[in-house]
Amino acid sequence: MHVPDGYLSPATAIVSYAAAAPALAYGLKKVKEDFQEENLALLSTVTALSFMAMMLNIPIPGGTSGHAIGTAVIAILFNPYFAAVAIGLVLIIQALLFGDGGVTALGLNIFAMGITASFVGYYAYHLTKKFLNEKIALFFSGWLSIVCASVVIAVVLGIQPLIASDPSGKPLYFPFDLKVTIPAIVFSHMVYFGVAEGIYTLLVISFVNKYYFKNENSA
Amino acid sequence: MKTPRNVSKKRLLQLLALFLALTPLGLLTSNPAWGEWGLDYFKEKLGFVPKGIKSSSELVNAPFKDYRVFNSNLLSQVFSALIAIALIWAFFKLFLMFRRKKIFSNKNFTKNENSIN
Repeated sequence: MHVPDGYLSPATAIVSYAAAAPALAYGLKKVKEDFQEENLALLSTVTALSFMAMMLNIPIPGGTSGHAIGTAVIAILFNPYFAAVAIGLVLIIQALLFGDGGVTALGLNIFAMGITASFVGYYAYHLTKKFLNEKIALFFSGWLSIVCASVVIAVVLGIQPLIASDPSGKPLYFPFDLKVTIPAIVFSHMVYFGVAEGIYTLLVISFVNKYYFKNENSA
Repeated sequence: MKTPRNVSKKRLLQLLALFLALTPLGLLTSNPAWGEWGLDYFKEKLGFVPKGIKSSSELVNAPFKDYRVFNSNLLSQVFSALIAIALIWAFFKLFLMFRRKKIFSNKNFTKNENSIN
């Protein structure tokens, strides 16, 4: 889901930076208010876990692959602002040091995997845990968070041939339209990577609750 | 947001170590992600490479492109993750240090006293 350089028209890149940057700046302000020394170990751990989860490419039928992103875990354990900032940091490191995801596409990648997934994961969990079993709520929040992120990416990529082609009609940037991107990106996340994200969310949060916060009640 | 009290950081290190050990599994597939193809993919599918994609494919020269730190893929995968862990921890640590200097409120002062232990 890391959109590379060259896939987005300049206008799209600018608009996505304009959408992601203020949101991230506001997130940083919120983190500044709430972040305490005792959160450092857990926040660093789950952020690093997201980085590593994104390295674990899962092959799927059709010759492509994908991965979990781990955003919902951070949103649920902390809040969506922490998650947006943490995933923003992960995506910046990936783009600048490892060439994974384009620098011009950073705005879109942060908007989708950082901001969208954070808020969807957080609210999905807090709304569904009222009437769903905790484990199902965790799985569902993870699933929905990455599926929504994939919708953002699919729509933005899919409109590129409509908004940027040369006079002869040849696309200048990403060439496939929504009829191609929606099934390829969104369906693969609904069926495969969403399930991976759901399982990841359930397992990591269960682990943290059981082993990291275990003395919380007795303290 | 929960604030941990008597917590075991050892468990978090175990979780990190587990994922670190899993990172080489990411090498098992050579399938690219959908939409993260090389230039030849477009050439093959469309008969041409869209101008914008061609011209900016080498826009950024990432020092460890494709998570390659060494010649060995396996070691590269693990070292890439270690670099990321260090940077992430350093970022949040510096964020805390920088923030503490700027606003030295009562709340932060008492928190600092507690966290000495």
